[in-house]
Amino acid sequence: MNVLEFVLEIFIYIVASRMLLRWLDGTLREFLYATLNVAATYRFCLYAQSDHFNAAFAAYLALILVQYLALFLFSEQTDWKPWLAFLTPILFLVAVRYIPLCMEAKPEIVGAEGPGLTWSAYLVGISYMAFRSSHLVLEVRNGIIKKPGLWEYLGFCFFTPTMTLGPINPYSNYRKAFKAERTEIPASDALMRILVGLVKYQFLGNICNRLTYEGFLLNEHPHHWIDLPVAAVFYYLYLYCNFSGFCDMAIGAAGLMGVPVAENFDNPLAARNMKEFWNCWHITLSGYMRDVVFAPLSKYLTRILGPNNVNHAVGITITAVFLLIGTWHGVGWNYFAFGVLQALGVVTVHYYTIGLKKWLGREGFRAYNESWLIRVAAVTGTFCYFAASLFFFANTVPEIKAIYCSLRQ
Amino acid sequence: MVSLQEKCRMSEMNQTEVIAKLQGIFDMVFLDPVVLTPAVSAKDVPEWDSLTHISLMVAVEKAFSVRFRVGEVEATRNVGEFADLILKRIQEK
Repeated sequence: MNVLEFVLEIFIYIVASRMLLRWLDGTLREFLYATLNVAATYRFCLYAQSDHFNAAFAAYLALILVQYLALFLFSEQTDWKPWLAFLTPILFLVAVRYIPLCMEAKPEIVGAEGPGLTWSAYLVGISYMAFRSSHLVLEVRNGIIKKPGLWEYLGFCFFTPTMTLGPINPYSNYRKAFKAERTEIPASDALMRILVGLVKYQFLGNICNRLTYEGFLLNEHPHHWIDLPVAAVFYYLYLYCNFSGFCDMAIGAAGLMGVPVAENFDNPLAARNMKEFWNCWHITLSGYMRDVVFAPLSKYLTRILGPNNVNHAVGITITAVFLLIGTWHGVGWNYFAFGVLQALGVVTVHYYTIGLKKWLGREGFRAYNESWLIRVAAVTGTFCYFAASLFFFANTVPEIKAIYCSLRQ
Repeated sequence: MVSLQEKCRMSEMNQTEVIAKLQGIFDMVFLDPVVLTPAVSAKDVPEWDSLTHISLMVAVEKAFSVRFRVGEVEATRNVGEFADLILKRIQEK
């Protein structure tokens, strides 16, 4: 597919979506909107990404139909039954990504001629799908939204702009576009957002990528040790431009369609500590983990350990959350190490803040937060810490060894 | 443990009364005084972070003898909606 064809097809998709939302109503709209998004996901996310898109599409459809069945049967039940609906998409995710028996996409199933990839590689965006779908169950169970019909559910799960890389848009937010009293998103704002995203993703990201580990350190030449922090900084910048740029384009495209999507970044490069950083970076993932893991687990531990130990209950929970986030990013010791470093950073901030408040008192703590000198040091330190921690995110164990060898020559 | 009499009284509360009771809990948890109105949200209170949030939730659950479901407190936008949620949980008991 050449670029012009791609842009034209995207344009048709966006216009069709907007027309359906504005001019139709009721079950016909839901059915057509679901069909449009299923077709668009097939075309743009699966057909364009994989040689064996039919197998991926069939697998996706099957997973989502099973998820919907679980939602339909259990989400409005009492006691523990809604958890069956909540866990169905999560279990699919765990099976596809982490259970060896389920991971391999057998060549005879996907139609490959030789050894195939894992199902995780074919099922593009399955993590985001799992989080979106499971969060929907919580919203139904908590009475925030009405249980969706099949067409509403398909339209949401296959919503193309956020299919592959998120943001993890809550169903309640997504459905605002279907209400008569919706807030209009100015087309000029949406277009500007797409343009900004394109510049970050295609232009700035590619420039930064020239000086990252892959583009710079892993070129089989010896390197001075200074090249390591250079690669670390540029990898962080590349990741930010790449990920936030893609999210900008997704949010802008959805905005053109009239669908609001939750923000995923809020100037994380200027965060003053790792706790603030994770409130500004991949915001929808942090929000999901806060709702599903952090709040319930820390409340439970506080009840067990007693209210006087709430500090430690929160500290333990923070560790659990970031170990989960680390392993969610990928299978491998390097991703676990990445999670450990995030946990270490945020737990350190947690106890440091408690200590500062006790040591400085109310007024002293306020003055500390308002000091520009401390702010500059804190922002610089946070930037460097996260850039360094990405070393494990960016490189597999063999690559880490290769980098070490290139620096020693 | 909350007595049966107290449970009956709580089931007849309205939003204003719930917020008045929440005020006492907020005064215990936060160092800086927070004047509660239905429109106050976490963003309006600098001290309201993850640590104080958990302390608050545990104290509120104990004071009102309720248990919040996963994600439902975080879905409320302000103290007024939080008070309505507490009332809903009280009335479901």
